[in-house]
Amino acid sequence: MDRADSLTRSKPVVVIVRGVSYGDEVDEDLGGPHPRGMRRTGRGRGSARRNRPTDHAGALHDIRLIFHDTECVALLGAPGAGQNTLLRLLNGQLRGWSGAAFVLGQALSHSRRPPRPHRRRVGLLAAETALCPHRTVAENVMLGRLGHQPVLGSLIGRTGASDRRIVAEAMAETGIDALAVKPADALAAEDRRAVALARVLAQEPRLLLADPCAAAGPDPRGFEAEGFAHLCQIARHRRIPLIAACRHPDLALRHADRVVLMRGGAVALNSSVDALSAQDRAQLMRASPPDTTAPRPPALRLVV
Amino acid sequence: MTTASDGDLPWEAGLPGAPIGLDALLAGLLRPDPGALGEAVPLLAETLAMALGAAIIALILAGCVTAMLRSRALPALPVKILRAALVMLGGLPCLALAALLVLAIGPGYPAGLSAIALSGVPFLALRFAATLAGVDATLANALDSAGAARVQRLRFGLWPQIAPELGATLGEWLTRAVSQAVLVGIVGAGGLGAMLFSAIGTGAVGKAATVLLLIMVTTLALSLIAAAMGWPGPFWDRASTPPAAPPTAPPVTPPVTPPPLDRRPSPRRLRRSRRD
Repeated sequence: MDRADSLTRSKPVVVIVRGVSYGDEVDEDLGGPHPRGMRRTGRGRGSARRNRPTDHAGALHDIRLIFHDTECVALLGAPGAGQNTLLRLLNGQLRGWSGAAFVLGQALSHSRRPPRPHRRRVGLLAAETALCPHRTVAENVMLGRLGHQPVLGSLIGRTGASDRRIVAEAMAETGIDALAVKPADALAAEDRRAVALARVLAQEPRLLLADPCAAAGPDPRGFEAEGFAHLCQIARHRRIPLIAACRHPDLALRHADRVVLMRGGAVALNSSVDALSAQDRAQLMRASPPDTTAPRPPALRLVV
Repeated sequence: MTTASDGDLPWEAGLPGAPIGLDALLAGLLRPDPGALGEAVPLLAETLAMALGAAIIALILAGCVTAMLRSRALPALPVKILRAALVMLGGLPCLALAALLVLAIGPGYPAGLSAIALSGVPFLALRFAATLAGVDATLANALDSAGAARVQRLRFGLWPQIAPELGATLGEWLTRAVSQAVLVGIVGAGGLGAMLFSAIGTGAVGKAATVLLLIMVTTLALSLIAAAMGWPGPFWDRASTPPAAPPTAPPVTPPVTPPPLDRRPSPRRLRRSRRD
């Protein structure tokens, strides 16, 4: 571990946002309604015209959050409450916002993406696995090392011994080392998610971000609930903070250290799980979206 | 009808005076004239150089035009006008373009090269724009989030998606450029076409057969080279099929589940139980 990385470990994630009124990537891949303040005109080609701000309030406003080391934070809220926008802001994908945000000691810019050393320290596990279909699992995981490799060397396919060791560790940690030589397009959905996670771990992040579909799927009792628990376990093992948007309060209360409830782009509740009162828990449960995909009870059968 | 004395060439000038008959034509085509190779090979080299040069120029111009077509900085109207202009330019026959350029800058390969390049720009630019429109940006975004530089994003996020289609387009365009480089010689724009046209005009079918044979062999060689480079084409399936996936662990057979206890007995079992 180099000195810069050891320094960033001790720095908390501080987010102070006065308002995200419009941006380039705000309206993409949110998986829900567009954030307020955005209007997709569909006519103009220029980004300024396409992302014309409206008269509504911003997608995020008045947020002051501090996340410490090894803390598993669950972002809760109804769809469109701003969890994804906050995650993309922390990942440096938003443009055109106002306010200030510091992530691992780096001030995020309103108009340009973060520098390369910072981007590789923040890992985002997005909903879409985004694997290269013709490459093997090991090659896909190796793509996570691009931020650490010299540009010219990576273009001609040169990888160092440390890169290969880190990739092997990431694959072992996610349980896909047996699939190393299998093409990515021949994988099941669960394995694809594991490969995407291994790719994020291979970049050796100092902060792990996960969006709701990657962190917990529609069925909290299914595989993806284990995935959320696994994410928390990995983050604690690596001693890095995890900030995951979560759609199920029961999962958050069971596995996370801190819950942040968002409502209308603002923070409605920010507390550690241990300090939650009964009233807060009830508020969390009320704010959760209805679970429309819960398995139905088995139909009654007439046995003669 | 115009005559040579009017200053224009009659359209029949290069054609034989009387038909030689189908049997004589077939017999001549089956007996190429090897003596014509000495004249044809340098012209073939000029044809290939013309096609290659035109392909490179068209590629550069098409790259610029594609960047304009895909640019978000440009308003919609100029982009639509540019697209319409490309479609109209693509509708012009290369031969007509070459004839006009010969009229403008004189006979020789510069006119042919310019004509082929100009006719290739709409083809390539529109194909490139369509290819880029179908690119999935999620992988490039994921790599950007992982700290990849712009070149790395292009190499590992964009290139694997566009490379097969780009290779197919380039292979197809190069083959077309060679055919067009042969054709433009008919109007005096350099290359093998002039020799072919004069051979046909003088009734030297064996000489024409040699030229046609050279063109066919060149086309075949280009296809083989394209296949060896991994570009999709006529020989792609056999020459550049990706290697088979290595053997993986055998699939786990699901455990045999016992029948549910509340299964309704079949009529046969019911009859047997009653008998007992």
